[in-house]
Amino acid sequence: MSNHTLDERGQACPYPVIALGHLWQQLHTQPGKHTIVITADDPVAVIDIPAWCDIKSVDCERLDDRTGPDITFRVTFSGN
Amino acid sequence: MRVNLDAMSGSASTARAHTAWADAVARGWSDPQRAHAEGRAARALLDDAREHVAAVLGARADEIAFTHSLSQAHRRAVAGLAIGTVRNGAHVVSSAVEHSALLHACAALADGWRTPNTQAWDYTIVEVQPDGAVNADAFVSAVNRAPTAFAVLQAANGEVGTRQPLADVAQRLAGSIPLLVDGTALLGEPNFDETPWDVLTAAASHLGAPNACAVLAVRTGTRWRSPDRPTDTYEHGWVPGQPDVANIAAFAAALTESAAETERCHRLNALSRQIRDAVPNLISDCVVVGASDSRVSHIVTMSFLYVSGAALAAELDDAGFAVASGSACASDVLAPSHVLSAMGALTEGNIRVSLPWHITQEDVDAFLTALPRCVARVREKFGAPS
Repeated sequence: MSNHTLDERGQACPYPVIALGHLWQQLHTQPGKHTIVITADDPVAVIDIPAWCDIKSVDCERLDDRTGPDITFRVTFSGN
Repeated sequence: MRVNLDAMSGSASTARAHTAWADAVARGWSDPQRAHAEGRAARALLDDAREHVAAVLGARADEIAFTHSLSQAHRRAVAGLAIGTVRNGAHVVSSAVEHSALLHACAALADGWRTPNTQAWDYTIVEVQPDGAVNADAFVSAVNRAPTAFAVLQAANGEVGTRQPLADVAQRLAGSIPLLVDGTALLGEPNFDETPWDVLTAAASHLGAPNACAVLAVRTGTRWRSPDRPTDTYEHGWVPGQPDVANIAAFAAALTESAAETERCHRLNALSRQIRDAVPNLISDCVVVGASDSRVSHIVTMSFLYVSGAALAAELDDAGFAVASGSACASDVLAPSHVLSAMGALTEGNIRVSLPWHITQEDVDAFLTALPRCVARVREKFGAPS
């Protein structure tokens, strides 16, 4: 099991998802449960991070309270 | 060699449309309202075009007016319905994925564009399912929730190609309120004349018709009123100013030709199906967007992870292919696509392929050869995970 955070504030699409993709690529071959908490402030992240999770078949939960500019998701998956 | 895969933004005129345009420029340059021989020549061309377009759209000639653009048709359709139907209740309903000119026109009602004797309008936007289609129950419920003046629902979506459940919605509304239908993306498909509508807007850019012409059709008896004060007498008083006879003649010729060539839809359908099936096998980390079956034949939309749509469109442009991008990447100048957002579909790396009438198998094969290379090259530039 491993926990990670990605601070992608200030980064525009598609870079937050690229960062997520790089970290996922490192982790998904390692056994155990992995969690990535990613924060971005490009409004498109609201759509593209869940869409990325859907393509990769990983779990995705929105953590922020939808009031400020920061958008935070917790992405969870098992490596193998 | 250039291949136009952005037919929804415009396509080269067909030979017949070009001939019709040139003929109308040569003979139809006068004011069609003048009684002299030159005016009558222009009038004859205009009347002939109107008859032909009416037949394709399943309308009477006196129900058809020509506008100078699709956006003009959209705005006049909404403003005229608002004036004519406000007594039903100052509430309008549309899907979330209408053409932006229609959404903005409806929003303008809600934002304070007043009709006589009303407060600002209520505006209900009906969300869509992940495939881009509205749920017919949800749409009809939104209409029935409050006294409603009119409703807006496209026949099919121009960005992702998904057909809307228009026949179902129209049947259940049963003429209780006027239904404004944007028929553009469905135009060219078989049996378009069976499409239900009370007010219809349509352009035919993808069929080889000029962009500078569109249709505003109003079914006889529908309470649409001109939003102009004063009005004039051109186009039944629905669209001010002299009509563009040459572009209208070309529009009518292209539309008539498309309706006669039903084989074309089968061909386009096979080619777009080929793209839809091939791309996920050729390229990793992509999604093909929109309904898989209930769709129009000429549109394929897809998104690729880890690239911006504008960068991918530029790379394809360099390789000889014109495509549109609905990508929402804020690093681009492009505005986010409200359609992809409403569907919850991946917006990054988004491109829309729309096939013009005369596309060939060789064109599509060349595109499918170039696309994986272009995606790989842009991914490399962005430092994407491999």
